[in-house]
Amino acid sequence: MKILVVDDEKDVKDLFLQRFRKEIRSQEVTFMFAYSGEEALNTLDSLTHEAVLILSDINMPGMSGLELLEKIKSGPHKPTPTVMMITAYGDDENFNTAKRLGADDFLTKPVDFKLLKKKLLKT
Amino acid sequence: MRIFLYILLLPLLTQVGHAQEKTLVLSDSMFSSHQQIFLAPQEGWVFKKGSKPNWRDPALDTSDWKKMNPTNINATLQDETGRVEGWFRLRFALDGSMSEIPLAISRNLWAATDVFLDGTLIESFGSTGDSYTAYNPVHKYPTPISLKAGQEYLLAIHFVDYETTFTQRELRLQPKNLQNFINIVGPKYTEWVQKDIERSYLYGGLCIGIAALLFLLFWLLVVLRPSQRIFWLIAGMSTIVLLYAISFFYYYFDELPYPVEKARFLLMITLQSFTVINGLFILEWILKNKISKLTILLVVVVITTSTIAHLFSISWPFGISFTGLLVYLVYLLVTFRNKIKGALLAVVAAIVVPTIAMTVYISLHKYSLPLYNEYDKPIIAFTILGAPIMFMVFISMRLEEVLQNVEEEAQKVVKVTEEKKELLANQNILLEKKVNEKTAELKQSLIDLKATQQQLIQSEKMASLGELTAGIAHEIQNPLNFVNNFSEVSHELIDELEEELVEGNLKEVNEILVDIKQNLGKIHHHGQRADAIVKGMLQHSRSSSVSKEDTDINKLADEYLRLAYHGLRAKDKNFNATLNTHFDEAIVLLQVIPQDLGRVLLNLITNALYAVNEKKKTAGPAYSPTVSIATKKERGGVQILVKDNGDGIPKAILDKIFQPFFTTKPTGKGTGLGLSMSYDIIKAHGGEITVTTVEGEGTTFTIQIPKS
Repeated sequence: MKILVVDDEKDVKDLFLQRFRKEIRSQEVTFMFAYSGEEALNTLDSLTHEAVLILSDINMPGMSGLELLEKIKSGPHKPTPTVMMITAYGDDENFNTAKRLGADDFLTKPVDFKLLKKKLLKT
Repeated sequence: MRIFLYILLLPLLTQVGHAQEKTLVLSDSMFSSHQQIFLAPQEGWVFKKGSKPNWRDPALDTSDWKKMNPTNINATLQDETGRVEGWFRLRFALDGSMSEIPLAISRNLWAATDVFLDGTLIESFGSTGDSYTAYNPVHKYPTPISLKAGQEYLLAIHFVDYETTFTQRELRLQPKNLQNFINIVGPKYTEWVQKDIERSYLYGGLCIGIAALLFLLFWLLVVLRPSQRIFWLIAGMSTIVLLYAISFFYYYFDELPYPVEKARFLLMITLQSFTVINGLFILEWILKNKISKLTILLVVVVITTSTIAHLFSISWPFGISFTGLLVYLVYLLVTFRNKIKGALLAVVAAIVVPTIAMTVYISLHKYSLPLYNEYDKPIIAFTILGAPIMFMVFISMRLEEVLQNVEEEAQKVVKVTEEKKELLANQNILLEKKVNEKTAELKQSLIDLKATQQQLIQSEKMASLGELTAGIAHEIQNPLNFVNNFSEVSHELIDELEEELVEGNLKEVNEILVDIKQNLGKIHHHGQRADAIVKGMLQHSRSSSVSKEDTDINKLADEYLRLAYHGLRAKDKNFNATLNTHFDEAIVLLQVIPQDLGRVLLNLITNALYAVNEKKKTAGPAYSPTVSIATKKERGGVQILVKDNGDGIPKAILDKIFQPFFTTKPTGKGTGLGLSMSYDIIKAHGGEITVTTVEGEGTTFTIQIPKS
């Protein structure tokens, strides 16, 4: 399973790599990282006909996570990627907007990796 | 013995003369004062109207002549031309008592007469001819005649007179007043004439001189103070007095033609009345501050009747009017008796003195000619000078009274001034005390105010800190997230490490160690990050007077934009806005106090976010709340723009937004100090903060900060 993590915090990459080191080693998952919405879209374009799961932060400079969500869900990528939104705020507005735009799941910071793993295994 | 002889002889002498003419025997017992024998009232006169030269003849038969005394001359004797002409004849002899006395003839009336003694002209008094000339009897020495005792003489007088308006001295006089038509006088009379001339010059000079001096004095007072009506009245009076003095005494100094003399006399009589009663005007003016019509009427009537009395010898109207005047005077004095004191007594004297003098003068003239002849001049001097001198006394006394008043007033003023001074001094002390009290109160108020201000500033800081807290919490969340996760992962890694060590897989061990080390570095890094955020927060709340330091404005602006946004987000989870940043990378580091400038940016951004959030509540779904922050390099500094697309600021409050405590937020939501403090901070940096707004479209705050 290919997972694209979108977050402006660069240390997220190291965190994910270490947290999922066993899964990576057993090649259960492959991680890709983008530091902005634009970068994420570019990465996605290069992955044609591949099932991708996207984990995106909402609050980013430039394109926000919600914009990215909208673009991905309405975009040409097939099959339509599963998108999980991550935010520091568990507010209804963001949650509802994310749902409306077709977000598949919603996570709040700080990320509970055990919960995330469970969710990933389900999909 | 000789006298006895003459008495025996007298009947004989009488019988020798003409039977129709009685012979008058004169003796020294017949002398009245000043050795005068008034022949006119004596027995023995015969009179015939008309004139013939031989009527002087002692031997003339006078049986058809009329028995009449010269005292009975009257206006019925005049002919159609008004000429009164006739002859008086008297036979007389001297008894022995007169033999030693040098005798003379004198006249004191104005009719022209030729006096003959035994047919011989001894003196012409005036001219009895067709060109009539009246005789001026003033100050004339008598004409000496030589008479022998025991001898009989015939005195024949041819007299001519005219009745004119001014003839009162002859034709209209009462018999009593005509008695000195012709007199036989002794040397004492001559002496009296001498003395009378001297007295006339003395009193005339005195009266005219003093009257003139007072005239000058009073008119000087008028010139000096024309506003004083009383001075005018007194000066006017003094003028009348001077004219009266001149007109009275003039004929002693200079002989006047008869008509002029008569005019002088009329003038003198009028002025005389006026002088005497003039004081009434002044008294009334002083008492009532006006001159009544009654007084004017009385004065006019008195003067008129006085003139009539002198011209026509009709004195009863004068008597009545003068009595009326006196009654009115007494009425005035009684009515105002309480008011009349001090100087006013002099005014009363100014009326009383000439009135009494005049009364005495008239009485003496009427009842006692000897006394009159002796004292008429000094009495006249009283009638002339009494009033003006008394007015001088009045003015002097008034002056003294006024000075007294002035002195008293001055003393009062001094007293009041001293009291005022004392009062003022007391009030000054009181005032000073009050001022000190108030100053102390004000000082305390100022201290309280300053304390309150400090508290307000602090609370504003704390308020903005509150806004920051949520933002900061979010900002801290990120590094904490890393710290937690990396430490957790590291823990797992150490477990793995132990497993690998048991297996003796050294290569794996090395790899894990590198990871752990790296993680520890990250934990440290994010710990530091959190630390910095907390420090920044503390710095923000700390009191001012932090020194300036080189600051990256872009970084500061970005930091506070995020803090503000997250702060608002934390409070209102539904809030959402698009944040645009346009940072000019060319700007240089600026010397500013970062937490102060940060506070300003926080304020402006928070306000902008608040504005768009408010608009969002009412605007439709098409509205996209947007807040932009931009920096721009400028010559000499940096410009920071904070822009929103909210509702804008109404014009009505635009000029108030920088005032302290002005806020549009609901009570309790804003301190009203944000923009005011921002304004002060930017000013303290030497910069400027301006605002442009379009209602319904949005607001842009522009900050300009100079390089240093």
